[in-house]
Amino acid sequence: MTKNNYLKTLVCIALAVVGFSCEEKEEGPRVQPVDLSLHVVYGTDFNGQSADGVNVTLTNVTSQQVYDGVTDASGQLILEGVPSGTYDIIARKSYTASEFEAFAGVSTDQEEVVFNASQSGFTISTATSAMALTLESGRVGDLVIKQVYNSGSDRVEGALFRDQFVEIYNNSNDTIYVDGLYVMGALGKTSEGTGAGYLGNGQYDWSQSIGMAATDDANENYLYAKWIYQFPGTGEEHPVYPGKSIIVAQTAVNHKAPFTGNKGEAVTVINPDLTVDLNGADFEVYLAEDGGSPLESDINNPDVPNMNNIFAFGRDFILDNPGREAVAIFRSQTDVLSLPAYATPNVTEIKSTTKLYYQIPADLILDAVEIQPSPTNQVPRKLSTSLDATYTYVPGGSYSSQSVIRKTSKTFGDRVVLMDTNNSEADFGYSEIANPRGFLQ
Amino acid sequence: MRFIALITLLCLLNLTGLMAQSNFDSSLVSIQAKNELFHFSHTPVSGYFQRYDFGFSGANYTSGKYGEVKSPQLPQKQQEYQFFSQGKRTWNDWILSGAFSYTKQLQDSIGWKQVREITSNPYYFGNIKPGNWNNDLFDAQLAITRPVWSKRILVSAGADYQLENLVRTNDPRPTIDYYNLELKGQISFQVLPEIFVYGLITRANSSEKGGVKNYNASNDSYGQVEYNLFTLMGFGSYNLQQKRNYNLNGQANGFGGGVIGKKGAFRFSNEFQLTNSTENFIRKNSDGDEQIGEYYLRAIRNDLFIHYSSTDYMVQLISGIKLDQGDDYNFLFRGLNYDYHHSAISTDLVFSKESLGTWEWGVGVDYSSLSKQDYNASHYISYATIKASVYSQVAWRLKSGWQLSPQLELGFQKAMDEEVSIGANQENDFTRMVLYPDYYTQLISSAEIDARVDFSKKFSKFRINPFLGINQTLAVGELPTFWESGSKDLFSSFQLGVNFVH
Repeated sequence: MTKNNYLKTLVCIALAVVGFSCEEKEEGPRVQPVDLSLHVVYGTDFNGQSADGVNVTLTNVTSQQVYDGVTDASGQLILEGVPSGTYDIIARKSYTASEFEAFAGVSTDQEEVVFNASQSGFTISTATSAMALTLESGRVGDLVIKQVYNSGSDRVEGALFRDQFVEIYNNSNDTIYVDGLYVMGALGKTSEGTGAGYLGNGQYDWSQSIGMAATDDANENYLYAKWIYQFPGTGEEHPVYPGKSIIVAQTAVNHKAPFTGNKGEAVTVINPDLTVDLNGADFEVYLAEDGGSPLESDINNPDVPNMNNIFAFGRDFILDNPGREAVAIFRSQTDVLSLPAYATPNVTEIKSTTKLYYQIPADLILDAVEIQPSPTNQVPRKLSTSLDATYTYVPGGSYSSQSVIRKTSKTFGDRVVLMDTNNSEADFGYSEIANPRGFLQ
Repeated sequence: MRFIALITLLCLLNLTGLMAQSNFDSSLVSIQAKNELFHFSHTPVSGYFQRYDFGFSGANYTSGKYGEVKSPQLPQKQQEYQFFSQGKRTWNDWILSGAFSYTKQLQDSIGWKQVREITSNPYYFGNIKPGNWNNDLFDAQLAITRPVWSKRILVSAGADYQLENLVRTNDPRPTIDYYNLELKGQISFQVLPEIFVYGLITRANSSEKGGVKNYNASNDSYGQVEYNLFTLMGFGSYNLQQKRNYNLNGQANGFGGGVIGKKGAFRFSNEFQLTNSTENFIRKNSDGDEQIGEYYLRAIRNDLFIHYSSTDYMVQLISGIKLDQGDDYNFLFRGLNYDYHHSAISTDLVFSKESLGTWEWGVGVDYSSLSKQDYNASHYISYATIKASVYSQVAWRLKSGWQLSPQLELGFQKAMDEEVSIGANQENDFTRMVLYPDYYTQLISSAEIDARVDFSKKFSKFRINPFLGINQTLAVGELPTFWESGSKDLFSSFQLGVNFVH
């Protein structure tokens, strides 16, 4: 026995003999790291077969420590010594078009096919040392959400949140018309909910909403709209050319310069470098004439078409500046206002004043992105894995002038193709200052 | 308590005649005097052994500086301004003694610390970016003793109260309020003429409340990594959820016993105490309170003091033993995660001989062993250190009536039995920025020189004792690879002050 062990033993014996504690001591098991066994398989479209060569990443939510590995030929991966805790788990495998054809036996018109699986907030402990992940291939579309500027700029020297915008990009090589396209924000809890009406991750359990008529999975197969705006037009009035984008602004003005608000007062910034010029935005949201109490900054730029106000939230097109937002674009042949609408699951009685939220089928969604405040202060996810396997965020947080912006995958001459794997952690970076129509360097 | 012990010393020296054999006036400054000050008794009954009423006050300034090679949780520089006062009064058969001190503490560049102090408790806030601290520390002590039954039994009670306010002056900025109240009860029995045995119980409650803010709001963001608040939970485990307020509530219960007395040329005391303490760390924000962890510490102390005086020579033996064992319950992990062991033994022998004049000589050996383990993070360290020192002091009387007492101490420390084990792929920010720097600093062999000079003069109504001292610690031999480019200047300090006995 070494000297140290001898002394430790002596100490323990002495203290054990005494036993004079007057305070109750919490008892429990010894916390131990875990040898985690993962099995990754494909979904039912591919008969649930084991998936080899899958990159699996575990990120401890509270410490941000990362553990990763690649599955073997049988789809298995063992990660040794993983500390017990709560993890976000991502599995990803990508195929080129030819690789996918060899694997699936069918051809694809996509240059790259990406399969994702994810589990957020998963508890790993000695009681949970094995898990399975099922890969799904998400829809990659021609229109993608390229940039979301939700953080706003400095409260004192910038434009606060009035300079927010969403940028939508044509990632294809064909012209696409946005007439009738919807832009929505998904509704969800901004803090973890517990008890009846909530899922295990703290998000609403929409299956428990009063009058829920959906017979399939009310949570996985639908989004519930916090706000919806629609591009005007009858069909071919608003083209987006290949490699080009459209900007939907809260207010389409040059926020770097003073402008006159709707109360006749000047709206100014102290430091123009912190904000953006949205005078050239393609569309804006104007709610001042829709009743209610509009923001002073909500003015109408007569040169910029207004979005159709389908379902407004708040006094203007205000995105959640801490980053508790999920934005999606979709098309619907059915009038959205005729879709079912439900109260949040924590509502126990429908009254005349109860707000109902439109239920949007997930298979209508062309693209979606989940945004979080930060990796260590996440809110319950609003989007399913098939829509976005992970999330993105700006490190600067609220009023930082930063925006999330999609990365460049490749370029063909002047045309840029953006990353689109339905995994915003991989697809998105951030811009120090929001950059309308710009690209991530 | 050192001040109460100083008074004990004064009274014993001046009033009990036990130091009458001493051949120089060393009431305040001699090595023997200081040893009795710190080691004779720390319990409420000590006031009984002081034969005369007195007062003792002083002020001092200390400036210390660490080199490049140090734990990140220590300050680069520290300055302290302290004022203290203590005294003892007898009123009828009641013996009262008390002490008060105030310290203004200024600390530069401390990292990974957003709480009052870093102890064996694994639960605390920290951040990467170092910052400066401005602290106000108050300490008050009171003890009362009443002899009964013809002075064969002594009943004593005491209270120690600490009040502190600590502020960090760079983002992220905690403001911390702390108090600790310890109550003591003691009963002593005379078993033989001039020999007492006693039993002691103690109970302490403490509260530490802190809130952290950034003056620059952009430092609140996740992207400002150096300003992110870590909730440390072990020795490698941590949590980065940004919740900026905490409470650390503590309770401690103890009991002990000892013997004090004299027989013939011997004067002696031995004190033994066991303490069981619990500290509960709670994190708070607008969502409510979140219990993070509880830390349990069991501590044993034994302090032995023996003084022998004859007409020819004097010998003092001082020996102390400390045994600490700590563990926890982590509410987030829902289990036990952390182990802490620390044991220390120190022994000093002081000698003076009439034929050698007013010289005193001393040798000391200190052995310390420490281990920490975080099971979930797979982090473990252990090491031991041994330090040997020799020291000497002489007292010279000057013509003006002043006494000059220079003292010199030389020490050498070496580490042994070191071990560090970090799980594969388990290194994290704490490992690289806290564990490795602290561990490899502890392994450095070092030489220390400590020099002090005291002046002392007695006036009609008081005695004055100005002093100044310096300390320098240097690394010896090669530095560990982790610090290979660091300077060997480990620590230096300077102190000056003045004491009054009145």
